[in-house]
Formats: sequence, structure tokens, C-alpha cells
Amino acid sequence: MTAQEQAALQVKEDRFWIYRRRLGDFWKLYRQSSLGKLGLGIVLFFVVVALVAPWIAPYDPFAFVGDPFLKPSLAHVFGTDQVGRDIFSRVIFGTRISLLVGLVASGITIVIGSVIGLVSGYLGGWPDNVLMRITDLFLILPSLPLMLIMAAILGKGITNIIIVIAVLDWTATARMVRSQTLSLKERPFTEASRAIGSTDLHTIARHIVPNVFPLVFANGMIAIVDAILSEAGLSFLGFGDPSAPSWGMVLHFADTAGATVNGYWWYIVPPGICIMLLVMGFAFISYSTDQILNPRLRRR
Amino acid sequence: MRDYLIKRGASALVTLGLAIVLNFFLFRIMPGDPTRTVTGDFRITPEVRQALVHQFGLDQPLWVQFVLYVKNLLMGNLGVSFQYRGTAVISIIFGRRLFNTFILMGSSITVALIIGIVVGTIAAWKRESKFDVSTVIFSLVTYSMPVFWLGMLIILIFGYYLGSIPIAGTMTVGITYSNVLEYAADYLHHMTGPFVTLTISFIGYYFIIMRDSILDVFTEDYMLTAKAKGLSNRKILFRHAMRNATLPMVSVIAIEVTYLFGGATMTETVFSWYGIGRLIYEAVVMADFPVLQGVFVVMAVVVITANFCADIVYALLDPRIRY
Amino acid sequence: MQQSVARAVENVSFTLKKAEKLGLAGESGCGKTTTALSIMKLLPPGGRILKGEILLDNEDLVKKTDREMNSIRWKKISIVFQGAMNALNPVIRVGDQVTEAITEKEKMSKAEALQRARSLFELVGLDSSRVSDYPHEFSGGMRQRVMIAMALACNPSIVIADEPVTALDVVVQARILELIKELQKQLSLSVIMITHDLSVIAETCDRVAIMYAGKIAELGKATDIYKDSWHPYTEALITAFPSIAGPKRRFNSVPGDPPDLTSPPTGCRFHPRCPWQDAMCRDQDPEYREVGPDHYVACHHSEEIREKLRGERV
Repeated sequence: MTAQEQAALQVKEDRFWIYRRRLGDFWKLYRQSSLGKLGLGIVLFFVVVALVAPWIAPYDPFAFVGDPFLKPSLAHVFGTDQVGRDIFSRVIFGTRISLLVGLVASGITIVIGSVIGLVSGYLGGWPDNVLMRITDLFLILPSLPLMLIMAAILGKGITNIIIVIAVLDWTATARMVRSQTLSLKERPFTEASRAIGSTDLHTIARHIVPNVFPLVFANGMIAIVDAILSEAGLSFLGFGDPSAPSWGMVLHFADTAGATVNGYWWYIVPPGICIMLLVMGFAFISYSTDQILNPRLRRR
Repeated sequence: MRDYLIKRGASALVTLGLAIVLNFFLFRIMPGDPTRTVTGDFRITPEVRQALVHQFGLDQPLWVQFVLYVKNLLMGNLGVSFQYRGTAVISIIFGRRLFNTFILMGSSITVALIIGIVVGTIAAWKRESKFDVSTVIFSLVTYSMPVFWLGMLIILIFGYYLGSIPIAGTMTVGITYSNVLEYAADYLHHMTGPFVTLTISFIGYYFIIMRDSILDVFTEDYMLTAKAKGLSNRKILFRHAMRNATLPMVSVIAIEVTYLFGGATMTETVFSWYGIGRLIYEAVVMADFPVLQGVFVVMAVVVITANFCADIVYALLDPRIRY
Repeated sequence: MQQSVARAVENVSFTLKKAEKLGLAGESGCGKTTTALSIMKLLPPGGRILKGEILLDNEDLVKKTDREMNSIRWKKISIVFQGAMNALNPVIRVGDQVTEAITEKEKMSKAEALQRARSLFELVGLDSSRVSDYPHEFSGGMRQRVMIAMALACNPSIVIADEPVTALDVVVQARILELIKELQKQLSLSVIMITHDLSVIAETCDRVAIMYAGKIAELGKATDIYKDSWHPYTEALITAFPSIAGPKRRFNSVPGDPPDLTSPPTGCRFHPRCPWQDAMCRDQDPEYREVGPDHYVACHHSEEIREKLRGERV
């Protein structure tokens, strides 16, 4: 190996350890936050439930296993629904869809938002103006009605829900990434990178992205929360997939079955609590991460 | 100040323009024949359909259609509704429904704001006390709840179990009222459910923002000056802290109008409240595209105007901008 | 994110006479502002007075509740902060900020209070019509004048000036210091002047307390401190200023940094930076003792150091 190759390898290795150390530092601080640990615990709990659903659900979520509207009992922990399916199993399997849609939709959202924010912040000038105008527009328009309109145009189904959420939710991420990029653009290392002749893409990838990433992560939790709540809302209104019911869809069936007016509380309470807990879990993680990454907050 | 307002006004108009463009093209990306979003299906009579083709230039190139669309918009012609068999969209929106939604939204945003501001201020002052912690937890819980679920719970508890509020609708069916007061009382009785749901779902957010804002203000030097002057705690809090802390709130309120539409849509649907929110839901279910397109425009105008008003109010409140 | 205790001020003791100008001098973080805030019981949450007394008109302020202090604040003691940009509320007119203290404490009508505010503005050299302006409409020096006018609103007998001119440029500095001296004489005020700038002290003070790491290193008449200092830290501070008139000599500065007050050095807190330190300095905290009429110092070896330096002094 030439001396140059050896040096390049050493730099790569150093960088790996720097990232690893940074991650280690972050984790050490994070561990101190009880709220953060609680949030992480809740999220992991639901992830595990989603993964082992087939093994822990007592019944097939689509099978008719009892009389309709049975109250909770040992046989049916959450009772049965209007056609006699076990609600407990449906809620367990619902974890998969709610989590999946939440994560995928927010993932796409974050990517779209980050790209737009990076391009807008880095290029400046009229691309920035145009992109920001568009961002402002989407920020200002009410998202749920807009999502409904788009759902009306595109139709029902999980994929469409994901598309609809992703297309409308990227604005906050874009704004944040843009302002970070703008401030990083002024920093000396960016100028240095350009001065030695790196292409723009290289500069963005090597210097700006690693510094933006931590904030994107913290903001990403909020995007996940929004996605979960949006999916729940859209499913509740009937735009989900009945063959793959999320918690929101279960509540949709509850509503159409008249659960509220007939007092079938076991149909209504559990799915809602699950949504609430999952959202709180991510919110706790977001809060703790924010506390660590934003030292100004600690001063208060 | 004048320059500031002109700049913000121009910005608002540009955003509105973009919204209109978006609205036009959004309904053209439909799979299949895009013109059916205007002329519709069997629910519209052939004569009306002909008139629509003419008014909106559906047999002409796209850019002509756009121009005609804008022209019609300015004249108040938003097309005709499918589900209501040819009724002008504009009369559907600007009727009873808008009034109902306005009353509901207006009252809940006002109450949520007042409670959120006052409680947020007190919580910030008594930081880390039981009061503070419990209100923060309350906000967190209500924020994490889906709005529709909250509505369902309220119907369940207060409608089914306690029977104190009506389950749905704006009005009890089949009663005649002897006077206006009875009418108003029944109306308000029916509004209780959605009102409480919306208010609770929004208090949390206002509360947290106000609390954060005041905590930020506490770190400012002029707070120490106020204390050094020996002013009473109440005076320091409400005269010095709150005046500065409410400034960010103004921008927040404007943004909240956006969320309010979403919340109202959900709540009106759950409670069958005869308003714009429920109109959106019904139109989506019934594939009534002209109504949706019309509501989109109305929403855009309302939200953009609200933000512009917030800019004005902010300028009035913050002397640094005024002079 | 652990928390520890910093002993910001320890064994600080002095008396302030009527119409006297006392200076509290020292590096940033030495405890001068904390001392001042303690006098007015304005310590931030987390700050506490553990021991001692603050006697004003034979009353111990330490024992007073916050509410009782409110009637003393601004009426008997007031304070002028530095960097008046943020010390004044940006959304309230300056006149109202001056009158609010008056109407609360003096039972005057709003109109009378405004009249008083106007005359105070004139007193500090501001146009009285500017009482209806906002803070951001004033320049730095003028804002400081507003702060001074505000501090005098309730006719206090003591005014604490915490770095009143540090944020200003030199020309404005001189003017503000002049103003303070004028007002002090005119109104027979007792002034505590807090600053890190010894030239300001030299200009304005009768007596000086040199503070280091939360303790008083030396206390005495201003002239004594300058011409006849007993503490190596005082010595270092004074000789750090080159003199235009005197002979050229090497530029001295004090090496090192002020200590972390959560774990201060053992013995004499100055010993790590002191060129004369020995084992006794490392082990024993020096006694705060009287070395002349109204002149105190806290150092083990003052006498020997003065012997050695007498030959080298300017």
C-alpha cells in the first residue's frame, strides 16, 4: 500500500471513531434523561409487539370468533367488534400498520424536506426564493383538509395515505434544514472546502450533511408523530385499507358500528390509548434529544 | 411601518396566487378525464353541463381554462355541486355552514387562547411546582390524543353515560322554538361537545408556547431590573413579562388557524356539526370535486388573511417595528 | 449535567459611609456583582445567602422577606446595570419605566410622577420630551443616562453602579463618569462602583475593595491602594497599566486564569498565580487583617513582599 493510500485509510478509520465517540457521548447524555428512556422504552415496546404480533395475538384478527359486541373478558381482553372479531388481536396487528405507515411516511417526508432545505439553503438566490414560497404555501394551507382532497383524488389505500402524508408534511423539516444550511454555509470549513476546489456536491455531502443530521433526527421525531396522527385521522375517516387495519381503521369501524352512541367503550378506548402512547413515546424522545442538542434550552 | 405592511401584503398576495394555481392544477391531475372534476357525472343535467363547459372553457387549451377559472373565481362562480345536483358551490359554502363553523372555531380558539395564556404564565412563574407539572402533563396528553378520539370519548362519557350533551347535530330534530333564546340555547347545547373537544385539543399547544415564551423572557435583563425596582410580583409578571412574551404568541395564533381547520373538520365530522369541516368530509366521500375546489380557495383566503392580520397586530404591539 | 456548589462570595465585609464612593474591583467572576445583588437580595434562583448580615439603618436585610425588601428596593438602594439595552424593557416607554417605581412607592399621581421623571431626565442631561420614547430609540450612552435617571427616581441614599460604563466607548465613558460624580456630589449619594477597570476606580472612588475569587484581597483608601498596596494581586493589577509619564518597563500581566469557584484552590485562593507563593500559602487561608488606618489585606507575606519591591517601585 502506498503512503497515500495508507493515509486515506487512516482518515477513514479516524472518522469512524469520531462518529462512534460522538454517538457514545450522545448516548451517555441521553441515558441520564428519565423522560428519554421512558420514550425509548415505549417505542421499543410497540416495535416488539409489531414484530411478534402473529405469536402473541390470541386470535386471527379477521376471524369471527365470538358474538358481536362482547364486553372484555379473559377470553377476549378487549371484547369483540360488530362481526365478532377479537379486538385485542386486531389492536395488536394494528400496531404493525400504524407503526409502518408512520415510519415510512415520515421517512419520505424527512428526505424530501432535507433535500429541499439543503438545496434551498446552499444555492440561495432565486431557487431559494421559489422553494421558500412553495414551502410557505404548504405550511399555511391546512393539512388535513388538503390531505382529504388529495385522498379524494387519488383514492383509498395505504400507499395513497403514505403519498398524501409525505407530500404535505415536509415543510417543517425543509425550513429547519434550510436555516441550518444557511448558517453552516458561512462557517470557515465550508469556505475552505470550496477553496480547495471541491465540487458543491462534495461540500454538501461531507461538511454540511453531517452537521445537519443531528437536528434532522430531533425534528424527525416530530415528523413521525405527525405522520402517525395523520394516518390515524385519514384511516378513521375511511381512507385506510380494511384488509390491513391500523388503529385508526379500527376506530373507524368502531364509529360506523355506533360504538360511541351505544356505549361500547372497549372498542373505543384501547386503540386510542395505543395511538396516544406511541405518540407520547416519540414526543419524549424528541424532547430529550432536543434538550441535549440545544444547549440554550438547558440554561432555563 | 407602512413599508413593512406593504411588503407583507404583497407577500400575502403572491402566496394567494400560488394557492390558486395549485388549486387549479391539483384537480387536473386526476386519473381519467380531468374535465369531469367540473362537469361531473350523472348527477348534473346535460343543460347545466353545457353551461359549465362554456363558462370554464373545458373544450379549450389549458391556459385558457386557467384564465377562465380565475375570472370565474373573481366573479364568485365556483362551479356547481355534484351531490347537491347543480346548486352553486358558492351558495353552499357561504351559507349556514360557514356561520356554524365560524361560531364553533371562533369560540374555541378564543377560549383556548385565553386559558392557555393565563395558565401558561402562571405555570412559568411557579415553575416545577405541582401546578406546573400537572398542566404540562395535561398538555402533553391532549397533544398526543387524536382529535377524533377525544371527540369520541366526550360523546361516550357525556353523551352516553351522563346524557348531558346531545350526540350529534346542530339542532334537535323536529322541535319548534317559541323564541330566539330557546333556539340559541338548543344551538349552544349542541355545540358543547365539539366546542369542548376543540378547545381541549388546542389549549395544550398554546399553554406550552406561552410557558416557553415566558421562560425565555425570564432570562432577559429587564426582568432583573423590574425586580430591583421592588415591584410586586404580579406587576413584574403581567406588566413586564407578559407584554414581551405575547409577541411570539401572535405569530403562533396565525399558524394555529391552519391547524384549526383540520381540527374542525375532524370534530364536525364526529359530532355531525353542520359546518364547513363536515362539508369537506361529505364532499370527499361523495366525490363532489367542485365543492372541494371551492372550499380549498375559501380556506386559502381565510388562512392567508389571518396571517396577514397577525402581521399587522404584531407590528402594532412591537414598537421596535413600528418606528 | 450535574450540579455543584460555587462559593461565589466568602467573608466579604465592608462598611459604606454616607456620601462615600466605594469601589469593588476585580476580574470577571470574582464575586463583585454577586455581592451587589446580595445586598439587594436579588440573587438568581439557586443563589442563597448562607451566613452573615447586611445592616442598613440598623436593620439586617438578610433577615427580611422578599416582600419587606420590596419597600427598601429602589427607595433606599437602587442599582444601575450595565448594557442598558436589555436592562430596559423594549416594549414600554422609558418614561413609564421611570414612573412605575415612583407611583408604586411614593403615592404620587401619575401626572406628578411624570413631572418628576422629566426633571430627572434633565438632571442627567437628556431632553425631557424623550420620556415618551422607547429604549431602542436611544444610543448606548443615552440609555445609560436613562438608567441613571431611573435609579434616582425614588431618591435613594445608596446607588450601586454595576459596570456602568463598560459597554460604552471611551469618550462616552468619560462623560457618564463625570455625570455620576456630579450627581453623587449634588445629591450626597453613597455609591458602590463595581468595575474591572482600575482607571474607572481611580477616577471616581474614595475607597476601594479589590476582590479575588470571591474574597477581598485588599481594602483601603483609593490613594493607599495605588501608592502603597499590600497585596501581590493589587500590585499586579496596578502595574499592568503602563504609565505614559513614567519610565518604560516590561509589560506585566497576571498569568493564569481565575479559579473555578466550585473547587477553589486550597489555602490562599490567589496562590497558583502568585509569584511569591510558598507552602504556607498553599495550606493556609490568609487572615484578613488591618495593616494601616482603614486599610486591610489578606496575605501571609505582605511585609516581606513590600520590602523586596520597595526598591523596584516606580
